[in-house]
Amino acid sequence: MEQLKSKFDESLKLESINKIKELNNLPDLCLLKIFDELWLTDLFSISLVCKRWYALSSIAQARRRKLILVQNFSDFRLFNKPHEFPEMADRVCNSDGTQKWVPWELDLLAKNALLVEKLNNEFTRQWIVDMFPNISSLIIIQLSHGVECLEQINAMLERYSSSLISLNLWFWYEDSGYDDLDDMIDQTKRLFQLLSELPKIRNLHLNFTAKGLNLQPKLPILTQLETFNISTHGLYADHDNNLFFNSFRDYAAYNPTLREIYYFNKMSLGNLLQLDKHISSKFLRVNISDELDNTETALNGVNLFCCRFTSLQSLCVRIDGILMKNLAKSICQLQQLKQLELSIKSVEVNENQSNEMIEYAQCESVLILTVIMMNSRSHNEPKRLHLAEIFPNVQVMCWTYICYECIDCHYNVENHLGNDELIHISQNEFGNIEQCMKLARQSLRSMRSLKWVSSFISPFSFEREYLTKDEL
Amino acid sequence: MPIIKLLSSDEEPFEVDVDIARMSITLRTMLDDLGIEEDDGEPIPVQNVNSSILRKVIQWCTYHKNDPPTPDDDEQREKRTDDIPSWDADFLKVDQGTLFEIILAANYLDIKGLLDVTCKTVANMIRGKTPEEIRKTFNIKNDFTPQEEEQIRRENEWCEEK
Repeated sequence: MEQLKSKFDESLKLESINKIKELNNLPDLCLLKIFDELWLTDLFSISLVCKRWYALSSIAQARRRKLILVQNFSDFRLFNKPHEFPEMADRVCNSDGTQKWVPWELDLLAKNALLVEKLNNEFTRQWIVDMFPNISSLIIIQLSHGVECLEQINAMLERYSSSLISLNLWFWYEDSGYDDLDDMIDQTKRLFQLLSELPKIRNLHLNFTAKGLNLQPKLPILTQLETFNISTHGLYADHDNNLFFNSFRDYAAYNPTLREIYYFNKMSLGNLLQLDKHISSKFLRVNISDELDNTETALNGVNLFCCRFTSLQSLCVRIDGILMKNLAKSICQLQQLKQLELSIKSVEVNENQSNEMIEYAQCESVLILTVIMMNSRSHNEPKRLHLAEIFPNVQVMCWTYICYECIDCHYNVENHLGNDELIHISQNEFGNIEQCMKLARQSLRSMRSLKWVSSFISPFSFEREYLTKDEL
Repeated sequence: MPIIKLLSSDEEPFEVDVDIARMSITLRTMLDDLGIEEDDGEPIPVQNVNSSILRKVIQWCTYHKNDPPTPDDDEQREKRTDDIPSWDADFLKVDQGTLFEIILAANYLDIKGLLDVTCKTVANMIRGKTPEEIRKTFNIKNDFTPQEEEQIRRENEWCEEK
């Protein structure tokens, strides 16, 4: 024992540390560790500090494992609905409120987006892969349209196929008349083929917008996945939805290693409740398509759903306002739920019901709350819903006011009249909406943890308004 | 709770819970290899760390003793430097020299959580600064010739803010 101990004593004496006064006294490994925490543009900036840092920044660059490629960054701001960014929940919650709640660290993306801007111009894909040879985690956000997006994605996948562990693809097929439909289908097939040939892939996130495009190729089943998520946006035909859902269900059923999944297309409560319980408990996000009313079937369904989807972090649900009381009661069971989007059709909750609700239905875990009021005729809902009491810990509130009649009005009128007339008609029809928003703001002011609010009122404003709590 | 003694480089002894000492992978390996489970009278020398830094390290470990283990998958982690817990931020409000010594100690003792948070703190001091501001902040001498500097600037031209 003594011998062993003296051996350790000796090893511990190897480097006697002089008093460190300056950063450059640290050994290379420590400096590299610091540089690993820097963003890409800072990494380039530090290369100009001194010769040692220049050499180390090159090493730090090659050590980078994660790359985010974004095209047309300015467009990204259009896609800032929080529920489209599952990662945002944690980030917003961790925020100290000094930064705007802009999703998914836009500033981080902005830094990386510079890279992509050049990818489209003077820098080639080869340049990217030479500079970052060891990428194991790749996020590609393609906001431009057409088949060339997919070609680019596929080319990057081919290059990084042997090292990729995590892949997060966002891509938008937009309506371009589909002159290149055949090419797009070919490239989609190629994409799925490439996905099936990623030997190390563990985390796969696919976010599509496919407007009217039938994505015929079926996703390959990758049995080694640990997390698998699909979100699709845009207008899908039912059979496209079913196709995706079937692929997804196969994934969920045949991947024993999966620990996190979500499928963010709308799913009916009936379909959801048919999934095996062990699959249900792995869901992180769910978007329920039914408009839930206050019938016993709906109430039992919601309750059963909340008992099964125990890991849920994000939920979108459409409800009749009167269901609010019972919904809150069920949702309380979802202790991981951070993000809730409620589309509320109408509200007829009397004061007694409200008080009863406050007594037992506090959903303390919810930190991001989106409320979409679907009918502007019930002007008192914000007050009656008692959102502040039911969701006492909400930090970010997204408030949207949409009226079905308005939307119909908007589409009808827009086709026949000019914009001026539309505004005139809408103002006559919904003259009290400002009063309604005042009530909403009063309600929001009483949310003690609230930091940021975004509001959007159709049809008066098509711009989202971002406010701090103090600005309400 | 079993206690062991650590001896700093300036020979100041510290009595520490074994569980807290074991947050250091270096000490954990040593304790396991030597079969030490509690104080056997002999202090364990931590010769690379002086008493003022060792005190800080023990303070940090004591505060974080119940934290969940830090994940190893650094590769997958986002480069976030704005998630330093407020206690740690206050704890690291020290002069630069002390901060660098804590980094060195965390690296030597292999305490990942402490190394992460200290490196993030320094990274925050670097972020968004021009090379000249960085030199000034950390007292670093520019050893490039004007020609060399110009050459690197040209290499990096594409990523400059527009």
